[in-house]
Amino acid sequence: MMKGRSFFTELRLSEYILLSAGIVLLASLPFVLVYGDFTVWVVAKGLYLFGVLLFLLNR
Amino acid sequence: MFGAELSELFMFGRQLGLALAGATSLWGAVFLYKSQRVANAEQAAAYRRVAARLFLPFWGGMAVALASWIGLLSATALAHEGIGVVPTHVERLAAVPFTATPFFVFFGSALLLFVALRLAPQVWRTKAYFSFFVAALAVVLFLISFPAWTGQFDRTQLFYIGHSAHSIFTLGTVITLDFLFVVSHRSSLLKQHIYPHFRSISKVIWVGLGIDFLSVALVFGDAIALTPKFFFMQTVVGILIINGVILGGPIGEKLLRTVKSGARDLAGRWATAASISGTISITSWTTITFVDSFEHLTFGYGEFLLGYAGWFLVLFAGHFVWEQMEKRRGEGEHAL
Repeated sequence: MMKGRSFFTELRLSEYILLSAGIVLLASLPFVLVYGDFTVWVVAKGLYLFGVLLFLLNR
Repeated sequence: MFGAELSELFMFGRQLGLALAGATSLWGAVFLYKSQRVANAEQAAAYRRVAARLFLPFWGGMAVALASWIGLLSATALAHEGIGVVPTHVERLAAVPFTATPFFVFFGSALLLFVALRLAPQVWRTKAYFSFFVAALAVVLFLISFPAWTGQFDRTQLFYIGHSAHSIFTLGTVITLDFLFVVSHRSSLLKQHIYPHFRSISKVIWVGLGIDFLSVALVFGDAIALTPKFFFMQTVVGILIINGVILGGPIGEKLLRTVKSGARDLAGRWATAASISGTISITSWTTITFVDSFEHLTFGYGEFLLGYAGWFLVLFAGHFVWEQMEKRRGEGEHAL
């Protein structure tokens, strides 16, 4: 194991949230396509903005 | 062809050029400001050197914007002759003559000022360059904020402003970041002082994408059409976010640690990961801006993805060739 941060094991909280936002955004696309439902898509965008806020605060 | 119009290609060129000129002005101003604040002379010199190098992409961006604006002016003349264009495209073309004159005046005066500053005494050149970058950023920010004019300052106009101006902080800053990486690559002094700022630069890119998300929220419901283009763009944004976390997080930290330890380059799988991740970043931002410039592309989702993958391979091949050249150059330097 490499010393220090590996790819996914030692991300900051903000980076975890941003990563989740990206994954949720991709996952939301089938919902939008099949049902025309934007709820998950909007959640992903909200998650992203929250992640950026935390990133700016160095969390 | 494929639902694209020539004027839309010029609009892409204008956006790309202004985004690059704006981003290089922003970071040029930041580095020159920092050079006046740090006590370490070596660090200040590194900042000044990098800021001076940023004039190259700045003028590159300005030249692309100038050529695109000239092309757009001829396209505007054609549109007035009755060629059928959709309303938003008309709005985009209608804004061209109002922003073209200020841009031409800006281009001419910036060029004259730049030449005058090159002839100025060294002692006050830093402050003068700093003022130049700040003024250029202000003008570019204004010009890029009006890609279209609805006739009033309503929600749609605010959406246009946010949706266009964020390119300075996203597309332009990503290209600037890559440029800084390239110019610092062969100098351990620059690496030591410039690489630590990459995290702050990536903060600006995250904020830029946030500005775009917020601006879309202003017109949510009115502007979103469930087209293959929409799904493709959202896919690229998702990839971009995931990639940004990997590039700015673990890879960025590894790069910084490598520089601090005095090693020349990243090793093994980290180097490969950094190359792939960096290329995905540039591929994604250029693709988003390019596709966004065209309203009626007739491609399906699969075709968009194929084009994206093809563009990635082209950029990755370019990156690979550049890396090999850098390595050879480095070996040559060691031999001397």
